[in-house]
Amino acid sequence: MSLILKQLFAFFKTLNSDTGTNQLASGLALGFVLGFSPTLSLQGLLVILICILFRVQMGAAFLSAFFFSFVAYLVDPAADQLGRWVLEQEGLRSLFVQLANMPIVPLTRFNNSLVMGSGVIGFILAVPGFFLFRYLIIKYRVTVVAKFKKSKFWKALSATSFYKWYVKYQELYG
Amino acid sequence: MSDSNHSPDSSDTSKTKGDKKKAPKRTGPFRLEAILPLAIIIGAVVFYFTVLFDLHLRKSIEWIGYRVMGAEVNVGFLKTSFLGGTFHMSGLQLTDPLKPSQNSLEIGDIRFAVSWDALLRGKLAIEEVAVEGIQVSSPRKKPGKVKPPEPPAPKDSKTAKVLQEEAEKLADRALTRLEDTDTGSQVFTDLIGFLGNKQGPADLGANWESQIVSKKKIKELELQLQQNQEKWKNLFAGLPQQDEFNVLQGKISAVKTSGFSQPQELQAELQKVQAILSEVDAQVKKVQGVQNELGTDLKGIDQSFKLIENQIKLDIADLESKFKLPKLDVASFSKGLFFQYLKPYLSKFQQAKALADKYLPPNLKKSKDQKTAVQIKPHPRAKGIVYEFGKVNAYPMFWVKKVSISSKATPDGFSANLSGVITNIVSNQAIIGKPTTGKVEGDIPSLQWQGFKSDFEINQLSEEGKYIATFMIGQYPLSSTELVSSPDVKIGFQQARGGLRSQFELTGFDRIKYSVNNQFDEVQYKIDSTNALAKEMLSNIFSGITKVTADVYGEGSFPNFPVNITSNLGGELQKGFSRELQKKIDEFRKQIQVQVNAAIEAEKKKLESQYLALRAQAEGEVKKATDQINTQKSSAEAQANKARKDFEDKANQEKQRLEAEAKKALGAEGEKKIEDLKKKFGF
Repeated sequence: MSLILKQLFAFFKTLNSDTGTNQLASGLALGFVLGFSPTLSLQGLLVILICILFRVQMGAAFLSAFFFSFVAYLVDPAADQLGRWVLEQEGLRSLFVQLANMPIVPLTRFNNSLVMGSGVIGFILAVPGFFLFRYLIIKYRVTVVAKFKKSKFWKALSATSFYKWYVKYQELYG
Repeated sequence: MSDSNHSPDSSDTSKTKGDKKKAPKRTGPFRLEAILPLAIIIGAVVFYFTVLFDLHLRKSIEWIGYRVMGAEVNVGFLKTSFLGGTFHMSGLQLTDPLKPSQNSLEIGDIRFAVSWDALLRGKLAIEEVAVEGIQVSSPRKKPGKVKPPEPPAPKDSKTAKVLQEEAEKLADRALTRLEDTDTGSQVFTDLIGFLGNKQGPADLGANWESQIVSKKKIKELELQLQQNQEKWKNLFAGLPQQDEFNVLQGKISAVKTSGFSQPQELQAELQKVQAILSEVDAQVKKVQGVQNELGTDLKGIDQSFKLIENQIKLDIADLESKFKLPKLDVASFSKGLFFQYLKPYLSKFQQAKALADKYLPPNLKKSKDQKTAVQIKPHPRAKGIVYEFGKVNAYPMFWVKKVSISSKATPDGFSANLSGVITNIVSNQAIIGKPTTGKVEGDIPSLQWQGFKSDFEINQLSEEGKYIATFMIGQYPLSSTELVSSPDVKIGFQQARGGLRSQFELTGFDRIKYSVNNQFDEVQYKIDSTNALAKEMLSNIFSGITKVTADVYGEGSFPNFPVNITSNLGGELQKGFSRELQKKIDEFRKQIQVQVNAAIEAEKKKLESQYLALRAQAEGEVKKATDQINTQKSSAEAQANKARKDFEDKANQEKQRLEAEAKKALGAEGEKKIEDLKKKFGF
């Protein structure tokens, strides 16, 4: 739990800094995929492993997964229809038969219409999602953060000794 | 862990002391610092499954077993292997809750290995399961713990009431069905009663005549005849009387039949005749109506006489039953002999049937004609739809290819020398194309059972599904087995050697067919009766029978199907008793018949003669009226014909006269002209 909280704080900190744009965007994109995957599925575990092994902002991934799981719930009817359409394609039937009888792949439960539909939405939209999140982060920093730093409130806060102690603490302990 | 790039770089010495901002350390795309924690976690998991998992699993089985069975469950040894996919458990003991010093079931060894090839495909397939050393009622080293019983539910609890009512209903249903078919020992009780009965048909009792239903029916019919007599009197009064016939005759006689000078006169007379005929037709219809009504009444009375004859037979049978005349037929004897012996098994069977009727899923019990009710189902969107992409020789979801069972007899407890195999326990037989089969055979020395064999097949490859099971015991001993036990007679086997073969077949959870064949050899009987004659007769009959067969069979729709019992003893007993008793029974019956006939014969004869006289009278009246009407009709028609003939004769005469006069008037000249015309036209 403390690990997750630490990651969430790091997310907000990085979001409001000048660096880590790619890590944030990739974290958000992977969280998008995670939100659309079923709980405790093979593909979900794979995404989590990627988040752990690669320099992906895990706080962004968890936050994004949490948010997009609600979106996935609302999009479920459309995902179910999409999944059924994909699984009923005659041209893909032989591929699906192969996949269903291969090792490991059946554990993804791809033959379930809801999993297939959500997976298609998640994986396909993850790539443009990465670029979109990257753009939005940069835009956020340029517009919101910069404006906030110019505001009187921030100027007043940054002049306080509390803030100076905080900056010192960050320098020493990261 | 932090993915922040704000790591201090101590090698940057060109910066001044006052410069607090440090250059961020460049890091690669891989989170190398995560590898160690991940390795620690994986190591911990591996350590747990290698060292601690087996212990925890063993304790879990014991704990869950205790909660479920209500008695202590012990597992001697348990070892699993994740990489090998193996499971090995030995020394499983389930304490008998009723006798804590012994086990209800003990299994020496259970081993199986899971196929990783199937597991990686999300399926569970087990090549072979071995279950060895099965023992029942084996002694324990120390008494097992037994769960204390649950406190009784409060009496006014709704759940307890409902459960109690259901239990009572089940018991009642089972017992009622048994009692409905329980004609077991009654046949022998009736037999002994008949032999020992000194009473005869003369001892029917003082008021037995008043209880005869046929006598009452004769009285009712007598009353009905009287009523009909009154009714017919009124009907006959409505028939045409002699005066009317005379009037009609007068009219017919007044019809002019000769001396017509004009056709109009003839026409007028014919119209008069037509009117008379119409009157006659009306009378005919009236007579026919009376005839029809009379016919209906007479048929009803004939039917009533037939009913009285049938009722007399029923009255005789009723009186016979008062004397409890025994039935000397094969079916009654067979049932009588073996019903008591089979009753405990039948009652368990009936209870199982009642439970199946109560708990079997409705769609398994429905007949094909029944329409399925529309059920409310959850929207499939919530779970999605699973598409099966199977292929031939693919793995089904669950599949145990082979289960080997074995057991070796031990001096203690109840054990057997058994070996068996169950193959293809599978979630979907269609994928593997094979049914589930099982076979167990061996001996059970503790029960002295030899040649024990049992096999079954569950075949769901077809749409209906078929379940077949056979059970056989080549030889088993019987001693001091009671077949019939009543206050009057006791029949049983002192000693015998039995053999059993049974077959059970269920198709589509609907149609059931079963047979249980018992054979008993080297039979020594134990017979006792309060009636010495009966005892002697029974002993003589049974002494000649050394081989006994008893068959139970039935076929029908589940869960209501018949239970039929036949035995060779039934035939032998029937032959034996028939020789001695049939004459006596027939004579008894004849005497009852004579007495009944004597009681009602006089009245019956009186009624019959009364009826015949009334019938003859009624039919005579109708016939008389009919004959008279027909006579009138014929007379009227004759008059009309006579008038017509007379007029035609006169007309012909006049015609001839006119022709002769015309010829005379023409003369010789006329004749010549006629001759010329004839020559001209070639005549």
